[in-house]
Amino acid sequence: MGDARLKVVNLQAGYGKLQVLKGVSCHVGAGEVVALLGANGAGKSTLLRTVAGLLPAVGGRLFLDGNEVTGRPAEQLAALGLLLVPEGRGLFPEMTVLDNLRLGGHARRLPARELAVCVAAAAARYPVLAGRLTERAGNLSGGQQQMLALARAHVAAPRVLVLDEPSTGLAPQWVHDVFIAVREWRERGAAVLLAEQNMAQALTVADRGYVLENGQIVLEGTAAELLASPAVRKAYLGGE
Amino acid sequence: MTPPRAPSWWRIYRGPLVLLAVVLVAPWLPWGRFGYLVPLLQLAGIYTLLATSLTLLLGMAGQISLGHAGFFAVGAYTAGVAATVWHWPSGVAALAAVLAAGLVALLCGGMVLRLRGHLLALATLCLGVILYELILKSSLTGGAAGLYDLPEWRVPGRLGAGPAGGFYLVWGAAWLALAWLAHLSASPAGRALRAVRDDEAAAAALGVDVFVLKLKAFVASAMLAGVAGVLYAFVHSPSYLGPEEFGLTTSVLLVMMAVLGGLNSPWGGLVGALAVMALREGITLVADQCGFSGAARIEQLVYGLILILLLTRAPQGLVPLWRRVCCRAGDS
Repeated sequence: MGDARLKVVNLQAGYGKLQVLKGVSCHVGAGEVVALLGANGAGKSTLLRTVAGLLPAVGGRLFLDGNEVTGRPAEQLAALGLLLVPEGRGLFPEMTVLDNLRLGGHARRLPARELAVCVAAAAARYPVLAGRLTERAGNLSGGQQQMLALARAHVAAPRVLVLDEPSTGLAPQWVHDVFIAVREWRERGAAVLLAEQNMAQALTVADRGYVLENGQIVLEGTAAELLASPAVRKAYLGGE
Repeated sequence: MTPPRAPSWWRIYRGPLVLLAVVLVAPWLPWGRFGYLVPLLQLAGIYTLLATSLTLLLGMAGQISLGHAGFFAVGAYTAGVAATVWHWPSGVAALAAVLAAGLVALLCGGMVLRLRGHLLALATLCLGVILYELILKSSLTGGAAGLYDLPEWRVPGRLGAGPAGGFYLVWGAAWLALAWLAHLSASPAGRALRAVRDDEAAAAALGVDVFVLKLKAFVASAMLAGVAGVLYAFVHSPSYLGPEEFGLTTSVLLVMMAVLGGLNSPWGGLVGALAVMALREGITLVADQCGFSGAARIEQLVYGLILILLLTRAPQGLVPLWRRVCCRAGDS
């Protein structure tokens, strides 16, 4: 536990008087994919936004590599190597694909030459973007936009990658590509926290998972344990 | 796979180079009976500087200011008061004026930039009105009567006596501002600013310090407006500096110029300022020729109608419209 790359302890957060997270604890190790599961409104996005520093925590603590980072703003967490790919992907629609990719390197403060190399590597990894570098990001299709978000993460090369519903609204072939990318991140040694409504899909790539309900973790375990759990099967997988 | 190349030197800087050539030649063209246009072009240079400061703030950073005439005023009046009342050397007065505009922006920006959208528009509008009222009511600034006999800046030597004497100073400053903005636009800081404009939360998640960047853009923009103020006081109108030019109408006009020119290009401010000035003069000229002179209301009406037409036909501004026309011409 001490060497978890991302550790969340008893986190509480919400919007105004509405408390969404009622004390959530979880952790993600290096080279580990952890799925965050739960229905719409369970608090997944709130948890991820709080972890990324976009939403202030009301209570609880946050650790990166064992160092406390509670209360740090998003830009400082990004500089420490935490990257959130938010729901809706967080692209800049009015800017070109190329500029979106370059912005991925912002937190790393790379010199221009190295940034160009990283961007080229990302465009090579996601060839669907290679011919569209000068297009407005807003002109891309939904699947292409998700690839752009992943390619931008490729440039950012985070130590902790937080993905908020990356497969939502995508055609099946894109969903497949998203989960291939998630596996790659694990192989590269990043800690991946993956929020998904699509439990069956998520648990095929994840090592472990947490089930969030009404702002609280109600279940946790390895992917196999969760898949076998009668409660999960009944509530989320539609099986018997 | 070759790495995508950074925009080449020529692509970033060809615009500034062409503009520099035009500025150098402009005062020596055979203007003939249109010689009265040269001082007007000088004023257009000051407006270019002002509109460009808004292209930076509104176009790149996405933050509206409806009080920019206030920073223009701070620049002009700090220079004017320091030179005529406190008898500072004009260079020191000018430097103090630009710093004062930046300082006011720094102090106010810390408060108003936490606001967004309509609230920011209203807050900056109030800021502009407050600055205007301070100047109107203060005894230091001469109030409504204004200041007289400010130091006059001209290009040194023989050149200074001719029509180019003030023209070169104003357009030199405008050129520097435009070249700097073209450079900034292609730099990592420019990218980060546009990211803030598109989506603040997403920019922050990528490591952009949103508030500090907005504040920097606000201060830089105000300092550009301050430079315009100094040039207005010392170059364009050194015999008399009054408060008329610095009201809400000017603030709105500046936003108009920036939007009309196009917020997505560093050249928007230049094109918008020139277009508005040319439109105003053109209508007056035509009205004179047709014997409508004195029917000022009709001129205003036509002016307003053409502006509305332009904004509805080219909501992205004149620079993209120009590019579209050029592309079409290039295709055929």
